[in-house]
Amino acid sequence: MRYGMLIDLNKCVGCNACTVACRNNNGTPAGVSLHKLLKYEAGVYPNAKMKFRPMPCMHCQDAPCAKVCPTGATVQRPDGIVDVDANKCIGCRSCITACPYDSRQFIWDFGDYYEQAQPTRLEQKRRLEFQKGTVVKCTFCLTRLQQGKVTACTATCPSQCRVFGDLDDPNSEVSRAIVDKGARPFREELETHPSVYYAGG
Amino acid sequence: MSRQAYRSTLSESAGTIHTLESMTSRWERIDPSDEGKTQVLHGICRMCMQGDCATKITLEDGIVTRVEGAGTDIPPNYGNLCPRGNSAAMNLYNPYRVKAPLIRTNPEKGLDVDPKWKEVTWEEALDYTAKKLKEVRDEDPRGLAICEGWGNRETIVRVPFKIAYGTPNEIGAHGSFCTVHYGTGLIHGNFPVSVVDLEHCEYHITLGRTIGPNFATVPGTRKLSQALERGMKLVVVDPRSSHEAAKGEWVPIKPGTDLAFLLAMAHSILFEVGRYDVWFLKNRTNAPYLITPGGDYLRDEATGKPMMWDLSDSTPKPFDASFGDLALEGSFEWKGQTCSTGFTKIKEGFKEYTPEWAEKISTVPAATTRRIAREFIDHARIGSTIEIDGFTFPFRPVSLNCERNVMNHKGGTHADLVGKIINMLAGAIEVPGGCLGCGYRGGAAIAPSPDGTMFPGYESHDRPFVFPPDLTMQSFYPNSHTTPHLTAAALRNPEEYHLEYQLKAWLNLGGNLIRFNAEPEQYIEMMRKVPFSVSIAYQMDEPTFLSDVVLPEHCFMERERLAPFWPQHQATSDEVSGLQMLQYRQPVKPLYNTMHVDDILMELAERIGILRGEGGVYDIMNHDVDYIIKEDGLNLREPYLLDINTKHTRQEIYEKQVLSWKYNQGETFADVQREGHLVKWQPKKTHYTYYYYPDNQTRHEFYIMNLKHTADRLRANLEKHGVKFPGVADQERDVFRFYNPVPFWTGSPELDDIPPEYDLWAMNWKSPYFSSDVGGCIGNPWLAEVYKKDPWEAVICLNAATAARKGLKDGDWVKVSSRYGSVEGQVRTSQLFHPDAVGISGGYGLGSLHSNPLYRRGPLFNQLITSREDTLDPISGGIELAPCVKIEKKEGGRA
Amino acid sequence: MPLLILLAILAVIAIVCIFHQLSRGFAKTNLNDQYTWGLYIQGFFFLVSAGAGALMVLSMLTLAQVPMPAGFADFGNALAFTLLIGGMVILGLDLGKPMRIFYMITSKNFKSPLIWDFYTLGLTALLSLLFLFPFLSESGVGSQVWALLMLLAAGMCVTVHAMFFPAHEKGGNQANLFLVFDTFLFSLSGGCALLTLMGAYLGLSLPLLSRCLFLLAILLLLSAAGHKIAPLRSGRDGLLTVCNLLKILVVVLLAVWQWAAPTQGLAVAAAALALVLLFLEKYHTVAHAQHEPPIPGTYGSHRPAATYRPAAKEWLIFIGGFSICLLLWAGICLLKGIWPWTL
Repeated sequence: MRYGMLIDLNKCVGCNACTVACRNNNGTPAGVSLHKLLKYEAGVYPNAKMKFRPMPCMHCQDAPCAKVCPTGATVQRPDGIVDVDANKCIGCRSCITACPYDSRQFIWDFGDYYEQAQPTRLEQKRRLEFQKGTVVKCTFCLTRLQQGKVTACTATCPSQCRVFGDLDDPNSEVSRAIVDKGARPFREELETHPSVYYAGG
Repeated sequence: MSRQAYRSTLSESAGTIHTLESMTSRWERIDPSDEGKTQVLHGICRMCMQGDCATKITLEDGIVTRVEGAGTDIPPNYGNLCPRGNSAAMNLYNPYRVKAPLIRTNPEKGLDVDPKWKEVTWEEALDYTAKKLKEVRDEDPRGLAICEGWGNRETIVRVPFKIAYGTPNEIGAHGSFCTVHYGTGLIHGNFPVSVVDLEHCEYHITLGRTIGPNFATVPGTRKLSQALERGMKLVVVDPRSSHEAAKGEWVPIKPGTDLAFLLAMAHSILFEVGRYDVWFLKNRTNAPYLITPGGDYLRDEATGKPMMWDLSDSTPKPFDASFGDLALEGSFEWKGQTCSTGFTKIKEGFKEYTPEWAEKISTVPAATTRRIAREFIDHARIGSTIEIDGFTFPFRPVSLNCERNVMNHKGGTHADLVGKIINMLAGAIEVPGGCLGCGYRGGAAIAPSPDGTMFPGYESHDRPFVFPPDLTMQSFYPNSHTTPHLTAAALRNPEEYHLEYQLKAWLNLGGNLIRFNAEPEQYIEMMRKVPFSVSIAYQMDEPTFLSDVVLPEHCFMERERLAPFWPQHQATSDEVSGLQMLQYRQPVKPLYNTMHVDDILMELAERIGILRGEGGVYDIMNHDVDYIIKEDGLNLREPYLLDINTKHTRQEIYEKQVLSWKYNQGETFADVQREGHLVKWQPKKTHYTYYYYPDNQTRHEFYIMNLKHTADRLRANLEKHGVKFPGVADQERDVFRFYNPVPFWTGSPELDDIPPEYDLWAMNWKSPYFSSDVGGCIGNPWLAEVYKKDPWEAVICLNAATAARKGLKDGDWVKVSSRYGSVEGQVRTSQLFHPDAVGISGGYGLGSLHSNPLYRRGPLFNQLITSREDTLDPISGGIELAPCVKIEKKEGGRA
Repeated sequence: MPLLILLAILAVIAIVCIFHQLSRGFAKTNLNDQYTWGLYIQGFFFLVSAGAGALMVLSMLTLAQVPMPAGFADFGNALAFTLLIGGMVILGLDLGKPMRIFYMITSKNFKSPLIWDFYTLGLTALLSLLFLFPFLSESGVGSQVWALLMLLAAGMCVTVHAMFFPAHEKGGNQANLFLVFDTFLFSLSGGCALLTLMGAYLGLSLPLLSRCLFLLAILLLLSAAGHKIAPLRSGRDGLLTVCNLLKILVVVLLAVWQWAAPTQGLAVAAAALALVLLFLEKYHTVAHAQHEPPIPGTYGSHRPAATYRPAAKEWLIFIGGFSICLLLWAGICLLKGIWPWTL
């Protein structure tokens, strides 16, 4: 069982539902997001188009972040997910400098969602799940996976551009979609062997 | 204030004079008995105007921790949710909400003047408000204006309240920019707009709107994604290379010139492609109807029916006679008059609108227009059929759809109609694959009138000429949407507008004229002058800030709701075709001292004395019919009518509504509460109104006779009362000239004879983070985090070459000025914009002293436009949304 | 005396700031998501590089049995020791959870450069601490053995630092030969410079150090030339140019000192410049390297540019920390009874 994801960039409409669903599901503090969507443009007028690249953590099989972590807080699980144990993290941030996909974020401080006002009830509750001074990253929504669901970003996408599943199973929807659409990881030349594949774009 | 107070209770503090700090630092109520519990509630999202995505709300320890799409089998969103829906928790936990009833103690009003709100009990607030409203009603109920808007689309009591109160003055804040209904009402008998059938469509042209992705509506995006995978070709005509343009062909066009493009495309189909759906035009439109030189139909002397020409015996016959060889085109002599068919009139009218002519105005290359016209007809499969549920439909898998950025200009109604004409040339009206109305799917939508053409529906059907006019001024704009700008003009100039009574009270319920209209100062002044104003509000928006009384309502998650399904504004497909459904929202416990909007209205009605009895709110509700879906809606009927003499809870009303529902098969409200929805799929063939009046049983107006009839009536009414059309210099030139059954290029004050330094045209659009400020998305911090990283959001977008020509670099601070106002902001140079366009998204900026700070950051597009009467489209009353502007660098500004 | 008072004031301010940092975390620093490492890491590299460099120089001198002024090795070792401690304290402050630092021992992730740094720096500091005691510093064979071990330990420590460069061209940290070479040279030159300045302050002179510095500066210039030729991309790097100019200045000053005017002033000036050069070089590898976000610019047009200027608190901790090191050094020397002046 090796979790992986396919994102079809031809279908992605750049709405950021995934980014907000990630915040919603994971309850990350203000300014911290486990998911990002790159929006940029390609071409020259009149042949110019908006381009989108949603990026969860790539969950590299040869993860640079796991290599540099001095306390072993960042581990590569057998199911392919790269996870951070917040109780072991010392907050040295070398994983952030090591990650070429900018997938990790350090919790400098707990800011408030609503600036210039108080922290909301929601924040107060969900902050208990985080520790200031540690690094966080996308974990493919481990809690949801344990409940048999797919990741929040996959579930919410209005254009259904994501497929999530078992890369080790050649008949799974994601494995077949990767083959059918000729999907490749982003910046493959870095040779970190990501588990997230992109088609089209 | 201690950050550890996790469980402090709300302290009711009536009598306090509040500051911003004291209002925002009020803690939410949490019920201690919820500790340790996990709850899942059925929800209906309300973070956009559509408001029908089924959601699932998870609460842990009484706190909403997750909002997500409900099951993957539940329409219309099938488990998906857009970014706004996902951010709904921030709508609930918003420190800037209004949390208790407030009464103003500082009589001075201004956006930067502290009202010195005094917190009061509900008793006091309701009694005081009702007393004031009753006084106004006793004097003249027309003195009350109710301003509604996208801030609240869920109240079921507002309209009965208005009728029971006796005021005709319901003013929609949104109407000035939403004059997109005429064509749909006239051709489809539907409201609000027409959409594409994405299940079958093979070639779709979209202008000035979204089919889903541009502002991330879930159902539209789902359907488009599936259609594109199926191989549908998408053409996006837009000054901006938008999210949707990235999925198809982008045809850049200069802002405000879509009418020229559409005329040229119609011309090309008629004169160059030379192929169109003759069968459809002959049998289902008034194209063959004969038009006299006087402008009316040539009518049969015996029956009064309009006549068509039979070539086989060279005589005209009533439209429902049998014909040997019906003439679609031609001019014929009859009894001393030369009559032409409607088709000929249109064709002659469009003769001068060549693609080359249009290119000079719109910059769309003539070759492109020709190609698109040809492709459109090629894909239309004229003559083909499809069988659905055993019924044979014409199959026309093409659709051209326009909306706001096409219609909100002078001549916008004409653009709407030319779009319809193009669809009619392909026969793609109300048939599979084509263009459908997004509302009522029953036969009454296109039922024929005695003239053989369908009854004009909704806004294409003239409003009665009320004189002296009401504050809405819709007597003079009988086909308008809503006209708050005319109300303001009339109040400033009552003589000009023949206004004979005064505005005495203003009830604001979801509308925001100050930020989301034009020339904010006019509405601020209006609110200063009105003797009494009350706002039923969620947050301290600008009109609420200027009101005398604030009645805080629940936010949408706290607001219990039972709703019928309204077909969607963007597109249709097999995901929703034939769907009749009830949805239910289980409310979250209220966090503050707020009330459900319908409870507030019923309490007010009770105190005013209009809740019960004949002509009261309940009586009206008993006879109310859903505006959009008519008998398919939640209309009360025997034997489940409300007893008009007792007070009812909302639950009682919901119970009776469920039992009254047309598609109920024995279910009760309790069933709907438990399931969250009640789905009743109807045969898909009933989704296309062609089904009800097939073949030649009804006709759509191809030659827009309705405009002539409206003009005749309007002119007659003006003469009868001896008044001139208000607000314009020359009513023939400025008003009646436009009521022409043949659409024409109207020109525009923003395109013709403009000073040379105004060499760019501003444009605006909704985005995934902003689709009107429904749900307060501007101030939602989760959305703000994301839109601050979006390159083209809340900045002034400019084509890169144009910027270079003007010596502007990306990130420079600039000032954009129209002839009516100006904004400042940071420039974004981009390849995604037409060289003549200046793009500003959303509605950011303005705000008040007590606003969420996110509301105060601009730039605000609305500061560039005007509501002056001579700039409006005279038929729809719509405001011009592409003003000519100039741009200059400004030193020393900062974001 | 006035110098000591100034150092004491700076030290007290630093201690206050340190407590603030420990209790409030990264509030009031200017570190952000793009510049995750800043003055603290730069300061750590600077102090450790100079300290380890000084220790390497001392061990080489000891091994080669070069005659040094009396007590020179003791003073030098003590100073280097305090700098290493100072570096460790600043690094600890830069952690999100400083109290968990000993988790580094329980993990066995020897692929991580930080673990290697932890152990080699620890070893270097331990050896340095041992040398403070007379049983080692005054024994003949003992000090030779110590010098060999120290050379290896400090050398490893500096090598490990070469692996920290954020090099986003490839996933993770990938050192290249020039960078390793550079790091070594900078460390050694920092060590020489440090010892020269220390010697000047104490009135002890060892011209060999300045000659070494001269040679090292020339080698640094050669490596800079290599840097210029090697990369495939073009692009100007203003800071690197400044560093190269400083290198040239050091070479020129020392050339003049060597052959024209062998005044101590020139040697001291060159040494001071060399330390500044080391500081700038560490800034270049840490902060400047984070100037480009990891994902190429084409994928994120118009991203607002993040900037990093160290906040006041960061400067105060660094400068004050340096002062603490010097005060600690003075204290150790007093305890050992080798402090040349009476208080």
